[in-house]
Amino acid sequence: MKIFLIVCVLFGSSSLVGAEASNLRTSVRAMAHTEGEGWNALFADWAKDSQAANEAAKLRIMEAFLNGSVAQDPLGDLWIKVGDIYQDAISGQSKEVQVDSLRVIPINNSIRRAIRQSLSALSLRSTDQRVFLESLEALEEPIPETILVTLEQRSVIESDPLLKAKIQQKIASTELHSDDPLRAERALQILTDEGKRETMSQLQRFLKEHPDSPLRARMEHAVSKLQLKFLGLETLGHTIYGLSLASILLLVSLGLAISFGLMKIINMAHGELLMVGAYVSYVLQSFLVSTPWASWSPLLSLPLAFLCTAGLGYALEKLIIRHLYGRPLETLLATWGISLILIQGMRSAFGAQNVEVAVPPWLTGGWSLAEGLVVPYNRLLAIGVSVFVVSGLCLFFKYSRFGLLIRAVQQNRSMAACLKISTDRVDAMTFALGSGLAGLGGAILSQITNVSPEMGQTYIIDSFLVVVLGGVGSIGGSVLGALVLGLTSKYIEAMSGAVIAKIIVMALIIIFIQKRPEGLLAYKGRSHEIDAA
Amino acid sequence: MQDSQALLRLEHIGVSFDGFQALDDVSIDFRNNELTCIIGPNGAGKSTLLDIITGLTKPDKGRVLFEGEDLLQLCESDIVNLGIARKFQTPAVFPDLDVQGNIAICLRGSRRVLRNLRKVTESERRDQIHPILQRVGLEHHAYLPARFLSHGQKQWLEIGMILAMNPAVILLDEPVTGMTPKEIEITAALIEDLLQHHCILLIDHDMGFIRSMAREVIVMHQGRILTRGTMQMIENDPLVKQVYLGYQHA
Amino acid sequence: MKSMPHDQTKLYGWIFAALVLVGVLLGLGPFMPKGSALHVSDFTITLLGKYSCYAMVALAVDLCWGFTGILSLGQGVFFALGAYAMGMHLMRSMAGQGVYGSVLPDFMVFLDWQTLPWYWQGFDQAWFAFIMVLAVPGGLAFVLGYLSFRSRVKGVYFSIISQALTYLMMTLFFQNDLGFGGNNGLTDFKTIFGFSLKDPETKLALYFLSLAALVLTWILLRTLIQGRLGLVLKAIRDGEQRLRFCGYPVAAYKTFVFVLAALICGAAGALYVPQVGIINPSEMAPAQSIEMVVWVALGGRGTLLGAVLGAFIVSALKSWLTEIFPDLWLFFLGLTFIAVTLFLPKGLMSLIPQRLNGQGLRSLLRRRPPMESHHAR
Repeated sequence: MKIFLIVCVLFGSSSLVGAEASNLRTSVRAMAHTEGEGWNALFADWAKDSQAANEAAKLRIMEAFLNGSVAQDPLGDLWIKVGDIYQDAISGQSKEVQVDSLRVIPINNSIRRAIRQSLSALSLRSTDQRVFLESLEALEEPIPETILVTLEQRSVIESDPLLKAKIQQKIASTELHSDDPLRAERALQILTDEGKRETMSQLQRFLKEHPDSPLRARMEHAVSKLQLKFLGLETLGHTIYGLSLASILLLVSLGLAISFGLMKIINMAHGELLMVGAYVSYVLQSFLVSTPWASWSPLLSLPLAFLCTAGLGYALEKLIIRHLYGRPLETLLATWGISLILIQGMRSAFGAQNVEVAVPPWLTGGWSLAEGLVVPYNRLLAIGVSVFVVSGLCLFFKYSRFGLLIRAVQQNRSMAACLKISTDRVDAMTFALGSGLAGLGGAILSQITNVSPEMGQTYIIDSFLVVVLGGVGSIGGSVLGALVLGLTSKYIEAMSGAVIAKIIVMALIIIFIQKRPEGLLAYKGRSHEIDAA
Repeated sequence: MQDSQALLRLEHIGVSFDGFQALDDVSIDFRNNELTCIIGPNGAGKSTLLDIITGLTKPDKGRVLFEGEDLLQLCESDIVNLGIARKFQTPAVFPDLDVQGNIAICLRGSRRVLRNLRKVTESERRDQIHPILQRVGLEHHAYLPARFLSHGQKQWLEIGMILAMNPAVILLDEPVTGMTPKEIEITAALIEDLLQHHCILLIDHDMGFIRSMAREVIVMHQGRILTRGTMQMIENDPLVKQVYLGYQHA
Repeated sequence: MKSMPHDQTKLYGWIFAALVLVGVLLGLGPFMPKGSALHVSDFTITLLGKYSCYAMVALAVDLCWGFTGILSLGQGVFFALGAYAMGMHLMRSMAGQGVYGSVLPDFMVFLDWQTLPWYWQGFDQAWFAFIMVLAVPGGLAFVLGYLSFRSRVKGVYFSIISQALTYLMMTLFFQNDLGFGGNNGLTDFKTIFGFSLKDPETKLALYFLSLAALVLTWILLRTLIQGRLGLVLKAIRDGEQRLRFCGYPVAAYKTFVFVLAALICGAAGALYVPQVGIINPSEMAPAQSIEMVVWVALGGRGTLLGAVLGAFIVSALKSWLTEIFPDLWLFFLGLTFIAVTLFLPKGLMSLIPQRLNGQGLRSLLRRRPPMESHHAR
């Protein structure tokens, strides 16, 4: 009685709970000196108790039984060993107890099974949704009759439609095997309506096990319907991932579309400009790490990376590339040299290992479109930024004065020079723009992949392929090239795996370029000037 | 118009670039040992016509027949090997080869790879290259890389290269542009010389030069043949005056 | 017609002959008593043998780029394919001597393969391996070259395609399932034609073999280039479209040159493998192929001597620098690229004074037109 009072005071709970606890204690004490299977009756009792009284204590006791950490004192009270101390099983309080007097109750597999069943029955009755869901998921098929009844009761009173559907589906999976054709048919209906991925394999398995089931025809129909649905979903998935890849390809190749596409500069250091952009993002983040701005550093790094790499590009154009105009192969070699220096420079400054660019909370996770189809937020950001940048570029080339100058100089250099346009300056600025875009792409990449001194090497070939595939000299071509490359890669990848896909895609591009060296978007023109002097 | 003895025949040629009609239903016959001159303002389609004959551009419509063979199925080098050679508007020589190398590479003979794995023989130099160099007046520059030649010399070298190929048809695209009067005189003599064994198609702007050369003149305008006839007829044609000579005299 | 002017190539030929003589004398070094100034270690001999293989590759790159204007960024693939073919023979000829004592190469046992894949058949025969050393790189070069040149892919476009192909081949060879040892490649060779690869005599023989192959390559290319083919190739470099109008099937010539270069690279790779003792996919890395271009760029493209000198100088510098200042190597390589293209477009060869004759003097007096050369368009 004393203990009872303490329990009441400690928990400050209602007297009803106190009374229930006392009932529980009485029923446990009645089991003093009971051995082995004797306990099963008590657990079955608990499982049937629809009031779910003292749920926590019962769950605790059963789990302790499973762990083998339950002991009984001569009085019949149960104690649970937690570490070195013993707790009263019903109240959960640690108390002094004479350890010598305790008797450990040995259990066997039969008890374990009984406990498991009672446990899941109990937790299935739990009002705690999380506990309920967990035990629902953990149910193994076929579900025993008793639990089935519990589930059916629950499904009737459940108000959450999502949960209700889940319960019904669980019931149906078992009912499907029922001998009663009506029940089986209803179960099939429920399963098909729900249309889960596992349903498909479930039905296929069923068909294999019971090839002469009367439901065979309907089941086969349901399977083919589901297959079609998932094929559609998968295609949607590949399309979305393809678009996401395309946006990344576009971001990494836009800069090249300007320096190579417009200016015909073979910039092998393009990948390294990306890499520099990614490192700018890294450095900015390390500066901001303990400020309130930290989580915005991915966005803040975009303009900063653009400016830094644009400056770097401007310097490179003025110092080196300017002297190599008209000599594309030499430009290729010199810019490769630049790329080696940048790689080694970054290695010396930041080490050869990957640096960690943290993804802020608002970019972690993803947008769940359908079952098993999640688009990570950072990919969405990449898509968004690429759309933004492309439209910005189009507006820039169409309406800004500088954009007009660039087009004028690249289309007819000598004419532009006659119009007192400083072609030197325009060249440098155009190259700076291309470099800046590369840096911006790098800053986005830093949120998606590893940042290391060699990262640029991964992208340079892809970038060139995008630009060449799209057709040199047009931003629109590069957009198209990136889309075609991204989508075909993902579709082929779905069929063959990543490495093989890469090889197939590259082979396809090489064949395509053979057939159409001018790319996807290009026009023919007069050609009677030839290339010898 | 159509002539069964034609060496080279263009039939209803039409081509457009991105909607711009560069040539529209052009038909011309060229006979052996005959000089045909084509004149016309810029953009009249003269150079495009040469592009089509030489296979550089494929027309949308029409046929090009050389001794009855359809040229449109062939690539540039095959057309050349049939015997149609072209001199380009800007002098097109190989700048890093010396003068005699430029000629040597054009000498008649197999163009196949395995047949060219041999040396240029001394007899080739003596009996074939040297006479050609003498004819175009470059015999003193035989070992000078072609990039050091003057503009006129490059034009002559190119004519020399055509001589080495000894084709049936020679297409000359403005051979005297940028030449001094003296150089033009020499070039005109060279062309007259060529005419004894070849069919020549000449395109030029220089009216004086054309007048000195021309037997038959074709005037082109906006991708079509405007008229044809002797120089005298052409110069008195009011239509021609309007589109072409008109603003030359203005 | 005046007589031929003094030919610069004769001078280069003598310089090359002198270098070969030095090479032969160095080859006698291991017979000198240890500790004497004339002694040359086995290590140095192997290193020189390696450089000779590189020099062959440099000649091949020069044939393509320097003489014909085809800048291939994939010469390393042909080199590696030749090396793999030879490596396969070496692997097969030591069947049963591996760690696992199986007739299969160790890496196949490791992958739990039971039988030899079909494409490994025949490599136990030396003659078959020799054919493959040439046929595989040559075949690949023919396919790539024929397809590209026929559809007139040229200049930087060809460079980019060849680099993409290189990247593709490297990715492919990194695959374990392909059956060429994946990451690790082929290694742990024991013998070649029954001679232990550890013996100094074998090493010396391989060195002389490489030197002889280099000399043969030189003679072959020099003969070809001084003939009509040389004219045609330079004409392709100057203006391939113009050459079509001289009646030449340009694509056939380019394919011929490209395949010939691949054959040379394949042979060089085959000589390289037994000396280095390993071949793995990193030999196919795009950077490796670009380094081969540097040899020629630094030495001086368009001259055979320049290519050979470039290969030896750059490789020796690499061996030295990566040992002493490993961080500096890439800086050095990068700066070389930039400096050579900016200040020394004809490479080190332009530092050798031209012999003056009538024409030469004239060409010196006349200022050369600025850089807009026509090779690359």
